[in-house]
Amino acid sequence: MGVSQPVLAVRDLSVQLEGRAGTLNLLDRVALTVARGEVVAVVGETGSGKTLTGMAALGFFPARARVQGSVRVDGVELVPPTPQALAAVRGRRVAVVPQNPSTALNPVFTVGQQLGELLLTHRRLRSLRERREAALSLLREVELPRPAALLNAYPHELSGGMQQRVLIAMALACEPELVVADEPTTALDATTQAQILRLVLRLRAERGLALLWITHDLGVAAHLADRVVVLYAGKVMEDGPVAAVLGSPRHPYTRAVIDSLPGGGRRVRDIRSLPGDLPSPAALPAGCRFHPRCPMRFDPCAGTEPLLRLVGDGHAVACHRYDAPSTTAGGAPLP
Amino acid sequence: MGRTAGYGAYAARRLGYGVVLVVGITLVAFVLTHLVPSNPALVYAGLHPNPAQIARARQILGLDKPLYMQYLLFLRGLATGAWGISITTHGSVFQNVMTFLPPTLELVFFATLESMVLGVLLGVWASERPDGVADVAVRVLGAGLVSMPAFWLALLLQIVFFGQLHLLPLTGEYGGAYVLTARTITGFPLLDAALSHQWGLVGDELRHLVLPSLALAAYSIGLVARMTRATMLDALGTDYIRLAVANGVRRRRIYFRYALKNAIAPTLTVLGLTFAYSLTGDFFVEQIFFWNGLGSYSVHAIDNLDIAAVMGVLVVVSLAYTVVNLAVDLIRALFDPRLLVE
Repeated sequence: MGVSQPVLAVRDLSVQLEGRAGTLNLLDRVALTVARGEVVAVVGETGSGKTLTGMAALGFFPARARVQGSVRVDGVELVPPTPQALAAVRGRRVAVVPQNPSTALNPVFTVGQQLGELLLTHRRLRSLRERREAALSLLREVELPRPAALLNAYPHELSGGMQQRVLIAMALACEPELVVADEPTTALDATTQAQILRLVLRLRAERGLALLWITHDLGVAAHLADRVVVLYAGKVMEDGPVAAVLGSPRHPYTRAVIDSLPGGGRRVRDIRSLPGDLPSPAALPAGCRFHPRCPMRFDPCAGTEPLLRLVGDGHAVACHRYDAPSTTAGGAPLP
Repeated sequence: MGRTAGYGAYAARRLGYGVVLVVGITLVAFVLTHLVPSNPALVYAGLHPNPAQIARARQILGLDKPLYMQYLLFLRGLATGAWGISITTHGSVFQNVMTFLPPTLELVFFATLESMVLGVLLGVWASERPDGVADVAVRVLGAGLVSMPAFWLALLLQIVFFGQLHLLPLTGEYGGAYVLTARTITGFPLLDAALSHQWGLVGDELRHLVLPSLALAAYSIGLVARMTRATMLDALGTDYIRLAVANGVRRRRIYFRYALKNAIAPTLTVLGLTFAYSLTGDFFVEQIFFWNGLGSYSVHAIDNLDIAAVMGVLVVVSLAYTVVNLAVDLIRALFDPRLLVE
């Protein structure tokens, strides 16, 4: 991480919601750091809290939720989300590329108007001509054909891939230091997805952007990220460099997710799926929240909750198998 | 991207629907009036007519011709302004309608303006904080306005603003002091007063407009307020508004620029639809406020089985309804370009 301050530092972030079924523990002491220019992928199943974590970087928390811990963007604290802090962060330091391009663009404004709004707000481009020029160069930067005609187009006149490029251009219009990308390729077909990923990699290299990439797709994470954070039921299970986490996963959950992926020469009948379901945030298992589904559980798993422990260079795992370095299972990568 | 061409085609298509609708309405109106078991010739001929007088009345009214001929003659008459002869005023229905229409249009215009401005403002205000004080107040008020009949509200307004507070005049289009000076230039009372530079009369007429226009607008104010509230809340909950918030767009701009433009199109449709209700309400309101307009004329015509007059009113009203909804469609498409895609 070096001496410079990270662009995003999440510390012990807990989010709880009082529901009819009791207290919902949506996030539990989540820690996460994104250094300048770094790409961090947050992976997890639906309901693991990965989108919640991403939105926390913008100061979005569920209504009436109890939020504890710290979320700092460039040193600006977002817990609690004061209007001043939000104004300093949203669009100014952090921008979003949302999940569903077809609903994320305002249907009654042209592409040019929507880009112009952000250029006016964040770059203070007062004249229409300046905004037009800036919008054109952004559309070129995201490799959209015929940018001049696009300025006057409405969102419904564009394909899903084009819409996503426009949304990326809108994020760039803010000139942020960090872009939170909430599964931005999930709604796209495979070819378009690959094009968008290539574009993002190029922009990242050219602009030195830091990215927080929320995804359930380990393939995308492997392709894009410097580091991977694995979330399970609102808790960080494993966090480390992409090669270490995906190449030699230490946590049984990470291992299980990798094994459940098709591809890599595996046949469909060889794909191992994880038994059971993600536990409800209202009734988390005691001890390690993964233990009821864990193929490698042993005595302490049901009793005490494992803490994140370093197992390698910048590689941390929350699993009792790594509690004491001297035990038999400790330290070694999982098969 | 090809927006103007798209808009022209859209407008032409809407216009086509409008023409079909008007023709259909004349046909239905014609058939309906001839299904009424009555004999207009008897009414036209006066008290205790002899058979010859009845036969002559039938001839004058064209009732001796076959039905389809009567309809075709009616259509030809429509185009040439020969809308038949009223059996109650014994004058040209076209001229009658042209005399009584302008005061009604003024009334309906102000009622529509009030429902648009008050309805939208109340709706936006309510949507600012769901379940807040303003929201609950607007919802209660909206439900009240929607469920209160126009004639009942008209009487209430008269009792309160004339009877109790002595703030506004009871009935009529202007006060007795202006009877001798009021001129007829275009037929629109307010416009004529302005054209003849009688500003006192303009003010007096505006005061006379307040209660009847409010009685007429109440229903649509309630409906528009509720509709605007709902569409604003919908718009504010969308992904694109969330994205605008996330990207740091200022709250006021999100409200009045981003959300309202999305919310206004359904509201306009409601406004167009309640226009028909306004015209029906107008029949009562004009009676109660002694407003000398098309409503009063129609009630009189219906009372006296004046088929030509009823037909004339029907045609004008349906034409007005078609034109208003055509206009709504055309304006809506300016706000929401997705409507051009069909």
